Amino acid sequence: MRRDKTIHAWLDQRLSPAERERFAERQAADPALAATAEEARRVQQLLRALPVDEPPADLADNIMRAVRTAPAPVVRRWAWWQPSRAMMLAGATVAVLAAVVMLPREDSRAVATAQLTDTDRRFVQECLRDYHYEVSTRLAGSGPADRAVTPTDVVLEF
Amino acid sequence: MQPTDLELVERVQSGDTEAFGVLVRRYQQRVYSHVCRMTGGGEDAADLTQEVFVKVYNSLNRFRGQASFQTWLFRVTANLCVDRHRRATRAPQVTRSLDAPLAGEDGEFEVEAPDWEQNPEQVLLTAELQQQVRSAILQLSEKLRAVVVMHDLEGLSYEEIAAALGIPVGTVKSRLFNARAALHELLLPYVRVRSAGGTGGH
Repeated sequence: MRRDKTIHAWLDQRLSPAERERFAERQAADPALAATAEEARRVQQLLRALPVDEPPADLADNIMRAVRTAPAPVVRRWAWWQPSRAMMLAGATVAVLAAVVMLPREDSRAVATAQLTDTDRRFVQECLRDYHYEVSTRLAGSGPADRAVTPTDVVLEF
Repeated sequence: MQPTDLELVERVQSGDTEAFGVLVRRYQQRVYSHVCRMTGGGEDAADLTQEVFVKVYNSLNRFRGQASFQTWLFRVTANLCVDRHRRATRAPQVTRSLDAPLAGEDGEFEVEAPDWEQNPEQVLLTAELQQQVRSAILQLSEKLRAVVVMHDLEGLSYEEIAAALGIPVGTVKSRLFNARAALHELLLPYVRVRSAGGTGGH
């Protein structure tokens, strides 16, 4: 078979009127090209003539039976009274930064503390890196029993 | 008025499981038909179709509507068909190799080709010819088969196929070109133009 890409563009009716006309002229002058184009068209017709496969009558019911046993794919919609986690983190960051700025800097260790979860602390750490602040953490309390406490004191040092 | 796909998806995402039933009934035939053409059909086709819809349902909370639901559905279908094909150990059931010689005692081809002159626009396929066409499709590689099935059999545009398969439009065109060339070779006994003079109009 001649591998002429114009044949496929012609099959898909993607040729402009001018291109279509030129292609018709080429076919008229070249019987082999015309035969190849006709055969390609016939192949496409064979494919399109394949009957559509009908699904079994109970397929939809079977699918829905399987679906009903699965957990519902519910999406939580945002509402103004339900601040997102990003908003809460941003708020915590602003609060810590405000504390840093407003605290009197009596010596080289002005300190702000806040109770944040580990995730929040890492986020604050990322935010403050550009300002050359160090963020260290202390677990609340002192005894071993307190080590399971999730919120930690965050100490800002510079 | 029928709800749109997106409206139905949003209802499912709000907890209305039965809205998914409308999507299933809307698309089950297309998905099933695609699966049959990609895998050769058989009893597995219904199971695979069910797997497609269950997978789509389970991940519906991640659907954000950037692509159409149909495109997304076809993407899941195509991926599962490829997975299934890779897992399958047995070869597709081909009743007769298209590479086998077709000549009879007098050297003429013994194939039951459609009467292209009598019925040039609407071809009626005999059961045997249907089987030959299906077999030819199954002989293509997965990549070529997916593109030609989506385009020439299911009528998806280049752009829809590109979105469904996650490939550039140029790759769709090139795969379609190669798939058609391969099918042309495989089905040549049925489509051969005897006299070079008779070209079909378009």
